[in-house]
Amino acid sequence: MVLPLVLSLLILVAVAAPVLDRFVGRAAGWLLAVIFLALGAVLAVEAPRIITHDEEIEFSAPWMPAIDVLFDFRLDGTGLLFVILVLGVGALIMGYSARYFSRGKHGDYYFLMALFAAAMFGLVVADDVVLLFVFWELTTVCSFFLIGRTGHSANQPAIRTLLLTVAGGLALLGAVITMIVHIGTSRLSVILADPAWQEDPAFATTAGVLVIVAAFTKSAQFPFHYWLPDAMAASTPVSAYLHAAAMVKAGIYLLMRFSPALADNVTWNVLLIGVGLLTAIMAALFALQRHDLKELLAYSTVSQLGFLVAVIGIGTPGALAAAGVHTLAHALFKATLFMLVGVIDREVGSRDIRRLTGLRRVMPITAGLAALSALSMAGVPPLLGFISKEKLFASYLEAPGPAMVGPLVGAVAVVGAILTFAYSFRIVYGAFGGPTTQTRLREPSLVFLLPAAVSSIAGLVLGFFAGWLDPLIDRVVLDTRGTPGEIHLGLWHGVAPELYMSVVTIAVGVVLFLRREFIDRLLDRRLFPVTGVQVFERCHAAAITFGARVAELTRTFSPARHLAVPFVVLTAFGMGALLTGVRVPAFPEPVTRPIDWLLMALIAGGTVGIVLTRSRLAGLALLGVIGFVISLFFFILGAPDVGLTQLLVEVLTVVVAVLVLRRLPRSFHPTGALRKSVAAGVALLAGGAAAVGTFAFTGRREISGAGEYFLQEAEEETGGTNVVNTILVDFRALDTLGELTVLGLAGVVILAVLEVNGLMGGDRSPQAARYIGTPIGSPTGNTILARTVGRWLAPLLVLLSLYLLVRGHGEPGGGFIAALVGGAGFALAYLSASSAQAAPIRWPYVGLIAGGVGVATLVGVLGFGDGGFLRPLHADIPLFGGGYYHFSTALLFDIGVYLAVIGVTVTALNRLGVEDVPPGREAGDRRSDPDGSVAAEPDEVREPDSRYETTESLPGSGGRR
Amino acid sequence: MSPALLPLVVIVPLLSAALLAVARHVEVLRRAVLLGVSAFALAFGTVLCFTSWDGVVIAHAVGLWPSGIAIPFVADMFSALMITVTALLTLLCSMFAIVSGDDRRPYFSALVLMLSAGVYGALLTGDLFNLFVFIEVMLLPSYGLIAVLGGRDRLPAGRLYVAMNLLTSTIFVAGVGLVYGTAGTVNIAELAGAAAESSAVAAAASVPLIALSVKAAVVPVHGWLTSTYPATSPALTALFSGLHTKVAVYAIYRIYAVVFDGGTAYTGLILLVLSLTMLVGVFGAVGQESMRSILVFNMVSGIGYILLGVALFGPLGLMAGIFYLVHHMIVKASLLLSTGAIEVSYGTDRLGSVSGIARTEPLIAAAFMGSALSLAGIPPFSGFVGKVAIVKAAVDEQQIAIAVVAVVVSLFSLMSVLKIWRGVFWGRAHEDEVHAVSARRPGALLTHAPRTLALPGLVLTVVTLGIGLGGQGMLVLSEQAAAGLLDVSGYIEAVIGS
Repeated sequence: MVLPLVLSLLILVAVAAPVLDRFVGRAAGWLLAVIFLALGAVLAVEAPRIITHDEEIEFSAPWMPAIDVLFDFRLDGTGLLFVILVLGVGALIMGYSARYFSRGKHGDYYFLMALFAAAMFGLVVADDVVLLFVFWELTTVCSFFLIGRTGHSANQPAIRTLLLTVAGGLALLGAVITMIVHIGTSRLSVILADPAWQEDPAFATTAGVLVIVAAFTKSAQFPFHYWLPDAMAASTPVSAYLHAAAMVKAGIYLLMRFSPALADNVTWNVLLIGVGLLTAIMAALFALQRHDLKELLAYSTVSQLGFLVAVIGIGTPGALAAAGVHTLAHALFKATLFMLVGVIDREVGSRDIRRLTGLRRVMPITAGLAALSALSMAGVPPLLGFISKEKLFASYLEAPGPAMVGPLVGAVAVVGAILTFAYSFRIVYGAFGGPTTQTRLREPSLVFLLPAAVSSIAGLVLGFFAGWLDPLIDRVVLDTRGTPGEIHLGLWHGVAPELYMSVVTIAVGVVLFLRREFIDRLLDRRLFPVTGVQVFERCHAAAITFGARVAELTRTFSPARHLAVPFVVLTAFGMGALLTGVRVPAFPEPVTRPIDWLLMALIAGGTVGIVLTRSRLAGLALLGVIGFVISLFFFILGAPDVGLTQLLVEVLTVVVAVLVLRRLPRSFHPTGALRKSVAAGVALLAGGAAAVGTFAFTGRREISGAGEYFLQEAEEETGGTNVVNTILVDFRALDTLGELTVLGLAGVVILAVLEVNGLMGGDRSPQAARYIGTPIGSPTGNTILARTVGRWLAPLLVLLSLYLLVRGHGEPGGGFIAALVGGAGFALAYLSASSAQAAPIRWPYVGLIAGGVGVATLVGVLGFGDGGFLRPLHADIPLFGGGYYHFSTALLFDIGVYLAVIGVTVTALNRLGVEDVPPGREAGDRRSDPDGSVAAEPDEVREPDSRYETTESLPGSGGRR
Repeated sequence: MSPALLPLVVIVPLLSAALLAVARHVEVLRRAVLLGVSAFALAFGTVLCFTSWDGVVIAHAVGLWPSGIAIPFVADMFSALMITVTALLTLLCSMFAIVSGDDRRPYFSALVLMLSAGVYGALLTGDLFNLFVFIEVMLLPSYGLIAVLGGRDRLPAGRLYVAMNLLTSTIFVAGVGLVYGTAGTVNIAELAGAAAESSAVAAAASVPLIALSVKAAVVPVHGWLTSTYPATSPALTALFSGLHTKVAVYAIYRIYAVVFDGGTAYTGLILLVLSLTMLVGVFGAVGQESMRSILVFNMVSGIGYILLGVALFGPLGLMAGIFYLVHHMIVKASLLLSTGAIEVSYGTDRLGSVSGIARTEPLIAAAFMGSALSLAGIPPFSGFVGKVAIVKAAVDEQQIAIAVVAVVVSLFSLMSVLKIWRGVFWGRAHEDEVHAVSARRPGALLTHAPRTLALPGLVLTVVTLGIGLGGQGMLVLSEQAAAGLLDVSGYIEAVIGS
């Protein structure tokens, strides 16, 4: 229970941190430090059990059992070592922050730091690989915000860091999922104990390499090392905690954690030792080049992490003991140094060793503490750093493989250690040595120095009393290698190879320090042709350029280019289907009649005509021809209702389309030959595919069950004899309701679009101007015939439509057909008017549409009375003179259909037929009101010719915005 | 819930829309009805989730005709979940539209209600032709909305949108015709397994699937979406992204599971197409220079991710896919609404034209970042659960290449949203920006984005955090939804037996 308790308390602290900050200001840091220590004390109570009795504290609860993810925690010695770092160094840094920051609000900072501590804690105690991954990513995210919050210049480094570490996290995810799938559990302790690691080398190497990549990114190993110096854009406490003591150790933790499974894997050994030492030496050289203390320390961290990675790669019990001790030692001296660099930065205002000099005289305590830590880093006795370095040396000599590997690795390590010694002295001398120029500087308050003092002196004390660590390190070895470590830490181990190595290191290191000017000159050049940051930025820019190109492929508003793609896809699919072979039954009966060929020829002719014509009007007419032929098809096939509908739709389409066409140029835009041939190719292919599909998949079976039912049962079930109509208003009334909604919506869309976009100005093409003053140009004179006929024909059509509506259930007719006939009547009335303003229909067409949809839906709701939506209700109404009229609510439903279709027709006629009112007259003019109330002002009776001029003299279109 | 009540979720918005079309000048009524109906649908969906718990499928034959004749409305966990989420998104997008002023455009409320009626109908229907009808009911209002909202590109964008969708609908209905021609029915339950048994039905039923893929914007038929969506208003992009493509995805899941019985003959080809979809989408996103274009391209990549679930099939794959679907709808809407709040307030969505928002608009920044991390699959947000589940499903099925693509894509998704974060949220706050003229209320000086504008995005970010931390809940729902697709006997029984 204690583990989730500590974790949730840490999260709680994070959430509460901004509140604390509001009340006590930056001193919230001290409070957090105390809380961290208290939580540490809670765990310390349990620590003896772990260390001396080889027990673990465990906790298990389900989290996402659906994907086998558990809320499992387990604290062993390795975990404990890292918990000490997280909470111990965390407490120091929190206390340090209380003085480092100026007074003011730092709520977000404390929130993120405490959240990071929680994440780090969770990471090292998680016993579920997915949970481990969660905390791993959480530390990354905290780091991102902590770097980025520093300011504008830190933004790009924060992003670089995030992307790189997330990429590493994805490698970890890959490893996690590989392990879960392969071993069948997400429980870390079970996974590590599984024999698959030894029995299945392919799996072990795959998972191992993924783990290594994750660890290398997090712990800044070559070639990912560059992010750590880059991340120094963060404020110093962040660097000290995340980028020196804790977060970068997550990679080390991961490698140690997987040592039981992978320490005998050759790939593991080679990669860790090789890359670790390469990183150690390379980063140490970089450190010697740097002048900014923080950057220098960052490279030093990279280098030290390299040593740790390499020693874990050795994989012997002694090596893992060394890794444990050095992790602790490094955390102590590196956190101290960072804190002190922050102190110097605060007090002096610079971190550049070319500008800092002789600070030992004005800041003696700071200098002393820094020297102590630097000596520890350099591996000088009697500090803890010396002991850990000796352990490292001893371990390197045990490197697996041929006999010469051990000495070789040891030699390389000594070179690295010498460089470490050199840059350690460079730090101390650079800041504190030399003549004192800024004599007015003073030591900062002891409170500010206290945290650094604690970790610095701890390094000294633990040097003398290293034996205290033996049980813990023993336990770490047990966890990571499965055997007791038998470790005895101490300053003196007798004359052993590692002692000679230390002597050489210190001796050559001193020489290097004395010859520092020569070294500086030697290293004053670029060691690599590119920096990691440059490589990253180049990849980043390349991805963006590539992405822009990818997007450019489809970035156009031209419908033609987009429309071609589905055709091509469909054709490709059709070809694929043909190639793989589709079994279709034979036609049950002959499906072709001679007249079909005539009709097909007509359709083909119409199609060719449309393709060839350049006139929009001709195209429309030819399309109408095709539509008529298709309706003929329907009639011949015995579907008068469908044929009639098709016919009427064609008529109205032409009317509405003409209203639109008159606003467009007469001819289609000319197109290039290339586009024409491509379009022709696509069209032929798509048409071919459609033809083949139709031929293969239709007409090859007997009448369907549903079809049979309709023919047999329709009258019995619905009282209607017109099967088509009963399908529309009874059996599939829901489809009809949807379709009439669609139709009605089309009307509403026309209204909305025109109201907003003001597209209706200036509708006359220039050609029309030619006819001004001629009889052709006079609407009044021109429409005499139409007006005369229309005056009596239009009402008749409307009456006829009502008749069709009522009889629809039994005979050809019904709501759609009736409304289309009625609509034709309105169209006639409209077209026969002498001007748009004089067009006689001023109905509230929105009301019609809404009423149609509403009536149809409400009639459907009536059906709930008999069990459900759209259930028709029936009544037999006695008629005078005997007999009954069979009434069905389906008729009412059909009225809804009728209203909606009429509404849309009238909408289209009225709104597409008028011009926008010039802007100056908009106020008070309600003619464009779609409710269609009669215009408030008297109808303008103007000479049409003068109206043309008015329209044309308008600057642009009235409502275009 | 009584199955007979299923059509209510279509009836209510339909009638309300008819009412609002007439009474559209009464602002209070307009807003109250718009929000009220969406809230009703949300409640309806939630109740439906309870009803369909543990594999219960309810079906109602509309009009009470015999089975096979009537159009069935069917609700199982999958459709219930989808209704709940789409209703939530409609509600929040409507709230946003009310604050941003979109709802003052003529007929906005009526059109949105009609659109949602179409969505709910499409999610419930068990009939292919009726599905076509409801998809049309969903699309028609969109044609209007896209042409009345948005910037100067709205008309060319609207034209492309209409043309593309009309073509696709034509292909879809033609495909339904071919299915009827080969199988003699368009009732999905009666079609169960038909494509697995007959190659002719399989070929015919592939045509509607291809049409749905166009609507879902699968590469190479994605260009219409990435070209048109950024041209409309932010609220509308959010609404479309949450509803349109996702209804298509839902239908693909349903048809593939029931009619094709999850056949695996072409899994390789399908996975290739989906990989391309993910990659093209994510790289397109990385290459964009405005917030919405980035997010819209990310949507394409998300579609690839979601469809992986149905391509992998199997209990884990389907569960992962459905989880990811829900996650993606929420997160994408959240991101579009958060960036939309900035666009509406500051008048631009170009990166760099407005910056330092994290300082001036912490609420929006928090909402954006949470969802952005979720999109990239960073824990503890829902995207992480979805990503783990999908990758695990892919590895389980030995599709290592797909797993690698999915993982790499998530990295580039992160890169694309970080581009927004850096360009807009970080950086120096433009002080003069704050004194710029408000884009939302012409004539007024801009102070800050109002909280009510940030709220919808924030709510969704909280939701994605919730279903990340409490992943189990949504996983169980997805698992049940997936179970209904794996074993369709419950679905068939409910429809045929009703």
